[in-house]
Amino acid sequence: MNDRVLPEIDMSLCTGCRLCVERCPTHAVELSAEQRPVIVRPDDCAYCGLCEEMCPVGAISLAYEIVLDASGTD
Amino acid sequence: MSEGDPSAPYLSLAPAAQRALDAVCVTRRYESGQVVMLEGEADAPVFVVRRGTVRVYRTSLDGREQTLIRLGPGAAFNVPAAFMDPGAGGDRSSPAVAGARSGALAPASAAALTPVELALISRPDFCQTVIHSPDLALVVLRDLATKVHHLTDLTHDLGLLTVRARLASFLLSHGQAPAGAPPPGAHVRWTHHEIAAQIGTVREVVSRTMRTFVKDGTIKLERHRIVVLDREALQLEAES
Repeated sequence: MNDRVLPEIDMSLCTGCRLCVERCPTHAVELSAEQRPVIVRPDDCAYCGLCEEMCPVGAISLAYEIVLDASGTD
Repeated sequence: MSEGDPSAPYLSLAPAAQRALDAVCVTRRYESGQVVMLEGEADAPVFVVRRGTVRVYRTSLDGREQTLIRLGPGAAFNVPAAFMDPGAGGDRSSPAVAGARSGALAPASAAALTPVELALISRPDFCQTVIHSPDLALVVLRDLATKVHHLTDLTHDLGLLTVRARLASFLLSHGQAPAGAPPPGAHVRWTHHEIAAQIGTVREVVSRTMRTFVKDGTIKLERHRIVVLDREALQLEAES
């Protein structure tokens, strides 16, 4: 499984408000020449979910696997 | 006749029934994300999934979605429309409701979650094929019975369980054993929005409830993984 899973940005919903760029704690996101957010430093993305939370139009989504911990109680 | 997998009833058709369906169907392929059927659409056919996964859902006026069911190869949707009288029943004060209840309008939307290949059969052709094939009729009955059971459970969960309980139940039922590989075609990763659509809430509530589960020590969040730490506690949440 690819370990470098990144947030997905739906450009059809994005309005270019820059909130994700301004709030990203690791500055992994920047605006492109077309004024749309791009994860330019994927290695810096902490997958914290703040961009998804901040986005006013729901254009950013983070996907998760759901795993049962091996040591959890049954 | 073998019943086969109840989630894939059209995979185990008797040869004659399969040939009868093949004779009246057309094949369509859709890309991931494409809408296959739109809620309210007139005269939508019966669809049988041959390849890929389809999500069937309803949408509210404000854009909120409720997933009704996810279907893989061997499953069918919009089957009841083939057997509903276009002129009967319904709420006459609302043409859309009357249309949906009469079978004339699609009661839900369907979208491809992955690239899909579907067999499309017109409603009259499907009905006629069923009439002339007792094997197919039995498959249709079993399929509809399974779906009634599923929707009964869904109605119960949405109407009688809290969001916390529904989320807990979702995490338990969709969690993968750490050493196990997911079955082919299984939906491996979920966004909070997708989870919200499954359990009947909105993304923000899923995120907020997840944070309380983290605080309780029931789950932990790793990079792109939700790890269920305490299944017993989550089970108690699911039953509360």
